[in-house]
Formats: sequence, structure tokens, C-alpha cells
Amino acid sequence: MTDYLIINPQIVKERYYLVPRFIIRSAFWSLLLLPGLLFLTFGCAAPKLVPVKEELLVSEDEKMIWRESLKGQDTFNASGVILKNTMLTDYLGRIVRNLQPADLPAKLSFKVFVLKDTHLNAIAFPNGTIYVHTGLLARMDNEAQFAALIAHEMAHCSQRHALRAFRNIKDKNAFMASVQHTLAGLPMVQEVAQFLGSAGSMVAVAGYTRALEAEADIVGLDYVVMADYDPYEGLRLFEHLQKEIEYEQIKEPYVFGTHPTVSARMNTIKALLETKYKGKHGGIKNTEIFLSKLNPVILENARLDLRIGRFAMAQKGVEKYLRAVKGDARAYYLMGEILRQRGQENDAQMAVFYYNKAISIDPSYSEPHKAIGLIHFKEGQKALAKRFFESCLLLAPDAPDKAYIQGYIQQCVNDGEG
Amino acid sequence: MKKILWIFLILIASCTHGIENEEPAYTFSVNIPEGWRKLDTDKFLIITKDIAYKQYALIQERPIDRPFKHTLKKLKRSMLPQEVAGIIVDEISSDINISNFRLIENTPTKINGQEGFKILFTYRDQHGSDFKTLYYGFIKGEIFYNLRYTAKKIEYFEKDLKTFEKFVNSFTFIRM
Repeated sequence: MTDYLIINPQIVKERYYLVPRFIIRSAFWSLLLLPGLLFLTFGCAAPKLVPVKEELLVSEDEKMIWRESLKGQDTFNASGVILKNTMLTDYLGRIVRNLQPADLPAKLSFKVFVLKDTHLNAIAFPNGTIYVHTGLLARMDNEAQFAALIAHEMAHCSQRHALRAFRNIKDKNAFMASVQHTLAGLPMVQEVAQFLGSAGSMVAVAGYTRALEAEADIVGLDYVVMADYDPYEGLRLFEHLQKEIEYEQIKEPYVFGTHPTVSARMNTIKALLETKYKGKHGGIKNTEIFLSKLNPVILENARLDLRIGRFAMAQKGVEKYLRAVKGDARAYYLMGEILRQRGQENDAQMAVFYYNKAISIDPSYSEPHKAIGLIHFKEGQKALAKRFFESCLLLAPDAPDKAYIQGYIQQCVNDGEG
Repeated sequence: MKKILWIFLILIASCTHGIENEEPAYTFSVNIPEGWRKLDTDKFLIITKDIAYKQYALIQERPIDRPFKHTLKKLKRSMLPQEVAGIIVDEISSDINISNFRLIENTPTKINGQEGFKILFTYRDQHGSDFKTLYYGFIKGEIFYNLRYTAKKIEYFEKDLKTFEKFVNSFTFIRM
């Protein structure tokens, strides 16, 4: 049984009229979800791959889809989940520009944003705005892998899959009714965001029909090869993530989960590599530059993994970061925190090792002092603990948790260890 | 005997103007402030003066082995209040139903003699409204107790803060 810490009065609304029905089942959210639901619905249908010949944004239906895309993006932008790192987004933007085909309509411009979220997801809106989650980025090894992912997303946009899927709907009224019905089961707006974040990633990858997915793979791989990236890296990314998902038993049912289309997609890519792109090994990988730019993402994602208690994933993240960045006191401290909070056998001892490493790199860093103090305090070594707590407060007299630390020191004194 | 004691307690409570005593389903007793309504739920004691969306106070008795919804971290009896507060902050800040979470204060405190913590934070809900929460928590035995007051930041929070503090101060254990 799980529990909610932010209480949603919705929990009690059904039985107790005093709590208002504040759930908004507005058309706004219906429309916001429209593109995502379109593709979910089409997962079971069989849309024809009718190419769109008319100019971009001439038809009313495409304009509507784009308008709703912008609304969806506004939700993300206002939520505080976008990673602000200009250097990184500039770098990712450059990769996108390298991949962009020359014959792309001028109205379609690609933009990439990073979402602070541990899921292995990416979301592409029909207007070319693509969101990649830190969870996915942190697991990539080189630029070619990112190129493979992003080229696939770009292909969904350039081939106007959203519009094509929408036009395949025979009874749009019935469809809208089913959208409303689906939305009734999505009571909270942020669940809509969640829906976009995970199920919504179906929009980006898994939610299209197999035919559209295959087309995005074929076109995406073209982009990758035209930009001189190693096309085999995309396949490696898939294999690598699938293994990780199985090993960690992560519930990632969407982009890189165990959805059957993933295997099908891997087969499509394999077939292309063995035929059309046979012998195309040895393209650009740009491992070093990619990892150097991605390091902040890897560390941020490790922090997020720690926050949600995925200790093993967090540890892997910090280890990956430390392989590239030597001598970062914050990373060693984070490793110590992962171990201290996990609290398995020998973890405390190992945590102290990492805290000391952090202190040796940055003696003015107060946090590891406090953390060592906490370990000794809990082990009953109060004199030792007191020393570390005091050194922590000397370094950070205005520490936000000063009151706790002062309390620990007082307790050490009371216990006759002062 | 217990039943008689309870009837006695309820009689006393009902004779006290504006004060309602809590039911024996809980291990604690608390004075519900005058003008506040109790919303009946078996999950926790929740009261509101207006409507729960705008402001509410609640007390929850939560078994420490019950998993959280957003973090896999678990509470343990041996945890220091600061460690417990850390997990609660992680749980709340990982909640995808809220955004713009900001921790304003995290300090040790005592609730009915129990060593605990007090955290103050703000967040934005799914409709874009800003809320402020004052959250007290402590572990006693196998139960994590938490007493919270959440209200719309601008219109409500300051208005009923003192009432909530009185509510917290009235918290006492009636059985182990």
C-alpha cells in the first residue's frame, strides 16, 4: 500500500461533499493530451502511411495540433523541471542542426530541452520541440547514441506523423469522446504531465503504429548516416538500455521498456545496418566531448536517483561521472550520501571513505564533516561525532540545518563526551 | 473499562465549548479548533475551516514500513529526526503532482515530548495555485506521526497558522 504525502482532497471527495470537486476536466487538458492520445489510440489501429504533400501549417488540423503542442510545452516550461544549462542545450542544439536535412520546411525548426527526470524517456512534439529526460541522457555513452535517438524523434516530426495519425481517424467525434473518457481517469493536471512524461513518450517513440515507428527508424537512420555518425551506436544504445532495464528491473514500460515494438524496432535497425548501411562502421562517435558536456546531467540525474531511493542507479551515475571528472568533492560527497542513506553492511565505513575524499579535495566543504559526524553519532562515538559537527559549524556557521547540528553537539555534551 | 473511559472522555469533550475530542480509532487525542470541520476519512484525521482545497490540517498515523509513493526510501525506527525529515522532503519533492517545491525551514522540534522535526515548504499544485505547508513529524514505535497544515500561500496560510499551532500543542497520546 502506498501513501500520499501531498494530500489531494480528491482522495476524500467521493464520500464527503465538503471537499470540493476541484478536478478540472476541461477541454484544455483534453486538447493538451490530444496528440498523445491520438497515438495511443492508433496503437491498435492500422493507419495508412499516406504522405502529406501539402505545405506545412496550411491545413486547420495541423495548425490545431501545433497549437496544442505549444500548450503542452508551456506546461513543461512552467513546471520547473527543465534543466537550465545553456552550454549543454547549445551543444545538443548543434547536434540537432548537424542532423537536420537540407530539405526541411523553414517553419519546422528543432529545439532540444532537458527534463530533470530519471525516466528513460524522450518526448517529441509535432512542432519540432523535443524533450529528453536526464535519465535517458545520463545513460548514453557518446554523441552518436544521442544522434540516433534524436534523429528518430526528428523523423517523427519531419514526416508529420502526428498529422497523418490524426487524419486516419474516421470518426473524429467518437474519438474526441473517447479522449474525454480517458481524461476522466486522469484527475490531476500534473498526472497529465506524467502522462506526457511516460505514456506521452509513446508520442515520441512507442505510441505510433509499428509502420510509423519503422518509418521514423528508417528516416532517422538516414539522418544519422548523412551526418556521418556511426549508425551502429543507436543499436548499442537500445541493447545497453534493455540490459539495464532487465538487470535493474526498472518499470520503464515506454520508450525503452519491454514493449514488443522495441524488439521489432531493433530488428528494423539491424536489418538496415546489414543491408543499406552495411560496412558503415567507424563514423563519428565524439565520446569525450559528449561526456564532458553531459557530466552535469549525469551528476544531476544521480542526485535525482538518490532522492527517489534508486541507490544502485545513483551509484552507477556517480561512478560514471567520477570516471570522467576527477577530483570533484561534490561527487565524492554524493557517493558518501548514497552509501550512508542506503545503510547496508559496510556502507557507513565506505561512506566515511568518500566523505574523507571529499574533504581532502575541498577542506572547506562543510557537508561531509556533518555526514561523518552523523555516522559516528549513530554509532555512539559521541566524542568523535562532536568533533566533526563542530568542524562543520566552523566551516558553515549559518548551515541551514544548524539547529540539528547544535542539538547533536549538545547531546554529545550531555552524554559526557564533550 | 476502556469503553467506559472513552465514554467519559467524550462526555467531557462534548461539554467543553467549541472543542471536539477525537475518536478512539486513533492513538492520540487532539482538540479540533472551533469552527473547523472534520472530514471523515479512515486514512487520517483531516479538518478544515473553509474547504479542504484551500486549507486543511491533518494528522496521520503511518506505519513506518508502509512504502512511499514517490521514493523507494524507507523509514526506520533508528532514524534521527533529521533523517526522517530528509526522506519526507525527498518524497514530497519527487511528487510529480507538484512543482516549484521550495524548502524554507527544516528544524528539530518536540511534539508532545517526542523528538521530531518541523519543516516548512511551498509548492505549486496541479492547477497552478501556490501552497504553503507546515509539517511536523516524529517516529514513535512502529508509527510515523505527522501533523500538517497546508493552505493557499497568499490568502490562507498566515491566517490560521496560530490555530494550527494550538491544534498541534493539544496533541496527546491516549494509548500506546
